[in-house]
Amino acid sequence: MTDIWELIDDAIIDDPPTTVKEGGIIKEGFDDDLDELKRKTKEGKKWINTLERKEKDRTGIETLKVGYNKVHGYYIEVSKTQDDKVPDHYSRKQTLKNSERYYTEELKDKEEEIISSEEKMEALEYEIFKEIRDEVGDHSKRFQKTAEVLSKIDVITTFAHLAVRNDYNRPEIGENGRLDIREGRHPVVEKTVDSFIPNDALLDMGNNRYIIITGPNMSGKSTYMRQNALITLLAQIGSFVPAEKAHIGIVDRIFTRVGSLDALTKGKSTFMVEMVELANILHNASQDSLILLDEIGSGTSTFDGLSIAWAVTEYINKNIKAKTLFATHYHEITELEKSLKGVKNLHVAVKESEGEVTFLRKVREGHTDESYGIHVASLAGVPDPVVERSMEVLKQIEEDHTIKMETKDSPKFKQVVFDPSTGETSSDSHPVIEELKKLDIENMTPMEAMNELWKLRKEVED
Amino acid sequence: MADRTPMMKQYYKLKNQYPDSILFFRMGDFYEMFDEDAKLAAKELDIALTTRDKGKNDPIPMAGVPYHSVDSYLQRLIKNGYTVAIAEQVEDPKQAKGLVDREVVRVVTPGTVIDEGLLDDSSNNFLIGIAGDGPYGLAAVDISTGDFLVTQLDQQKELISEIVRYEPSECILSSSLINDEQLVENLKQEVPMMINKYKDEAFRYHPAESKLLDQFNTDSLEPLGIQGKKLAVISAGAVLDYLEDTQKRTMDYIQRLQFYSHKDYMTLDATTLKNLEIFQNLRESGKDGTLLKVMDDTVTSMGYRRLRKWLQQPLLDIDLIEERLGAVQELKDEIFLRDDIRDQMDGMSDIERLISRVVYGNASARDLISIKNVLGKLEPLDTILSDAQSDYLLNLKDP
Repeated sequence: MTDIWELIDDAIIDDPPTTVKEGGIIKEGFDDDLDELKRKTKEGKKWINTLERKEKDRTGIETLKVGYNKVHGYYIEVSKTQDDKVPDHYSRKQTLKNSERYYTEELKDKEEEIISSEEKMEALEYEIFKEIRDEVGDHSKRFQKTAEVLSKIDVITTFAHLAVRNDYNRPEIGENGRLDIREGRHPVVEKTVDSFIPNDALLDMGNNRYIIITGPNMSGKSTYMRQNALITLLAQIGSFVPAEKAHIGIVDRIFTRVGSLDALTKGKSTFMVEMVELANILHNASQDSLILLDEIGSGTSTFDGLSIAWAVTEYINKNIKAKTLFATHYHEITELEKSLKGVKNLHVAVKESEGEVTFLRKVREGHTDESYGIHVASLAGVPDPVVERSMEVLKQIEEDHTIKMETKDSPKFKQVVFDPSTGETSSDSHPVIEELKKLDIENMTPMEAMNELWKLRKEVED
Repeated sequence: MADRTPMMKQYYKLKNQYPDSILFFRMGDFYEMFDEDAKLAAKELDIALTTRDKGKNDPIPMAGVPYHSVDSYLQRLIKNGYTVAIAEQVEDPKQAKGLVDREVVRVVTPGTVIDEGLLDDSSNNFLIGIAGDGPYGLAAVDISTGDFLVTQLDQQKELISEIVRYEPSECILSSSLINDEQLVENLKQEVPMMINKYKDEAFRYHPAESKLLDQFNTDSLEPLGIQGKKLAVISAGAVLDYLEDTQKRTMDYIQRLQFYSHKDYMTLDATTLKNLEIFQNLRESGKDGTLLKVMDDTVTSMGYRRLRKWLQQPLLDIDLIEERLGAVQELKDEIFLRDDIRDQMDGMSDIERLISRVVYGNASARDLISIKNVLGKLEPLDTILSDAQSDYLLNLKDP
């Protein structure tokens, strides 16, 4: 595009004014007519500059001055004390308190000449400028192409730069539908923490199609799911990825169903939003899709939620066959690993010692049984009395169950799912215990928990 | 109204043609507004409300903004959801016999701005048009960059997702679609944009087809790749019609139309873009904590807009992905090549937007100098790139 560079360079001065109609844009030597006009203006102004000296000499008036203002144009000013020396050919133009302003025919002619050539000059400059601009505009297609090329170079170079700076590596791309990510990281979260714990992920079209992830709230389930989606997305835009190694089988769509904050503020029922999103996924996902499900059914009662989660797991695994990451606190679901091909359990590791729980943020095979909800409540600042009381209550519930469970072969969840009536209203258990079972402690505010405890104690006392 | 001055008669004549817009009526160094427009502008722009014909018993409310700082006022009105019709003096007052003739020279709407102050460098500014009621035709045009993209979609859900990707600032609909409450409600919920009704004639096939043939100077739709795509044709034609109607000139900068199928790219619906926090975080819809923010280390506005596009449209074709990865690999390994390219491109002006102003006749001499400065960097950049080995980079050489 050197031709256009030259065109602009020949015509336009390097530091032009912002306005385009007042001249001062076009370089000298570009247009002969323009240069001639400029010469005339310059000459006229030069003549006026020498006028003061000439007239002083001629008239002997020491206070004589030549000046200019916007309204009256050029004038010769003489103080009133020397008025008597003014020659006859001076014509009065304007009277001030201490001086008179005059013009001469000669001055008037020169003034008109200057003004007219200045006007012509500005008009001509504008015309020339428009011609140049139009000529540049004629090449707009080439500019669009150039801009496209520049933008791509910029992005590719940026990807390379990020790969070095953020330690991203080149993913292998394949068509076999396998996602195999080693030491993967969340590109955004890793920027906000001191040391991010990397995790592997393996999803394929066979035994690792549907991954159920259990673990306490806040232990990093969501981050883990999202990082795998983001790594896939980054790979498919041609970027290196935050992982030691990654094999990315092309994914046609990414679906997500996660607890959404904004739905709440918009006043829709969470559960309704959840179900609308879920319906969309079940209708549109294919076996080449990647689905992230975070806590399906948490917006409704435990048994409804669990039933839906169970059925969704079966449906996706049998009918859609999409690669799925499913984070849940329904530990009962993990049983499906035994009966459904493709279902695999993972959990986020937690270290517990002397009543203190540490989140290790490491994803491991198998499932967990505990949700550490009370621990999260404590971390979140729920007052100690409530936390301690919750522990007591939990312990009672667990003990009750242990006693009961010992007499039955099958685990509790099977009763719930396959025969809900027995699970929900077991006649020999205390109604308060049943109510306690239903409490969604992880999602309660301290106030709600407190109120609930009061209510329960009152029921026991009654 | 019988005793109104000839100038006010001229005003009302123009105002009647643009009842839905605020009319900026050029008088000397000011744009004046009258009546309801004046009251509205006084409130929105925080400017003084006065009256014209003060002596009479029904003075007309009046408010004005100086022409040299009109951009900032336009910006505020557009941001607050108004459109502005600008009436200029179209003859030289010195030469006019009697009243100076005035005409509306353009209508400024959120989706049709080209003025520097009104555009965000970091994103495209799309106007979209929708045709059909399922399946749909969708056209998206950015007159500041010349991007013109057209597609067809079967379901409303897909349509909305596709629209979310563009983050348009304005949408035009025919009267039948604007009455589709469900659609309009869904659009409003997902995309914060101005929704305008546009005349039904523009949403008919034959007028739309001939608009496209005219625009691209061809006698069949085949070279455009949208023959037989009736809804795509209608949406594209309607959008062009609207542009000409508001901008009062031919849209010379729009020189190619890209028909695409959303099946060419990974589908990321609105929910997923939100949940994965690609462009906006969940907390406050800001840019912090988003993938875009982490990935944005581009050195030009053109590059930034390209990055956004790529994030919106991940590829499905292995060869295309590998091409990009190959280039990234080379630039990762070749530190000098990478640094030289970045140094050379750093601070490059946005020629895509600059050239649009050139074409629309708004560019100043300074803009031309900015363009020259970019052009001056192309040859050195080309020399740097001639050391490259990867196909992708070699294809980008010698633009």
